[in-house]
Amino acid sequence: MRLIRYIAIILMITTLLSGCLVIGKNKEYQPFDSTELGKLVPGQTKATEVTEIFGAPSKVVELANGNAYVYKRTVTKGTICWLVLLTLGNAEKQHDQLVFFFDLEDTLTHYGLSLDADKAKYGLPD
Amino acid sequence: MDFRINSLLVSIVFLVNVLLSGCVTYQISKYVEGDEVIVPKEELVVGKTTLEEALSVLGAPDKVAKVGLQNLLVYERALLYRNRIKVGIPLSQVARGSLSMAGYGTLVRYDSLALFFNTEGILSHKTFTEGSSHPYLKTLFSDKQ
Repeated sequence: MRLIRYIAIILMITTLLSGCLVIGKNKEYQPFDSTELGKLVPGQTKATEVTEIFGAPSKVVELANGNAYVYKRTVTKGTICWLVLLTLGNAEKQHDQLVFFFDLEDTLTHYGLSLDADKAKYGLPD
Repeated sequence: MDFRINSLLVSIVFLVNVLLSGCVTYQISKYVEGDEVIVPKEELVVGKTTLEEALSVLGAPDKVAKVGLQNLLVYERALLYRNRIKVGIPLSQVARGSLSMAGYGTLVRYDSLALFFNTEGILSHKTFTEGSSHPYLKTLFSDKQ
């Protein structure tokens, strides 16, 4: 009788813990190189020079006193864990972003850089 | 006595069968987009901080827009939490159709820092909303929109 009970418990535990784990990664790639920023001189560099170095922007935004060119690439990492009764899903999307600000004469005035794509990580929801 | 034991055994077998056939499932999902928004209060002074200073402290904004005669920079992080429970009893073996019920709650919260700059590139207004500080269940079931 005790043996049957042990077998039943072991069967129950192995059944409940059986499951499946899936991990995945998505990339929206934009091949800009942030080390090229040293070639830019605010107040002198023109928008055409920026596009020659960094390629076509992901987005152009009209501003009150000029334009902004946005370069963006993203990395998404996802984890899904299926157990018998419980499913856990987690996804994290991070991006690298470079924004150039131009005045009405298309001269570079400022730029900002964020490199966060490497911070995307796999994991389960906390 | 035998009848009671058999009934109990059948009930347990039925319950275990229903549970283990995937008829009761609970899902917990989380989605995060963007890095944590940290507001450096001392470095962001309205009427003083320049666009260049803000960009050097905070990096590239997530959104840029023109708002009247001002430029708006937004730094944002989105957090989605979803809990879902589904209960179903497959009756297709004994009758047509099946019975299932599901309930879920999804909450998306945003941490957003909005900075407004005038055409001279000086910070004219700033605002920060920390949506993630609101607890999941209390916020989800709150009557407030």
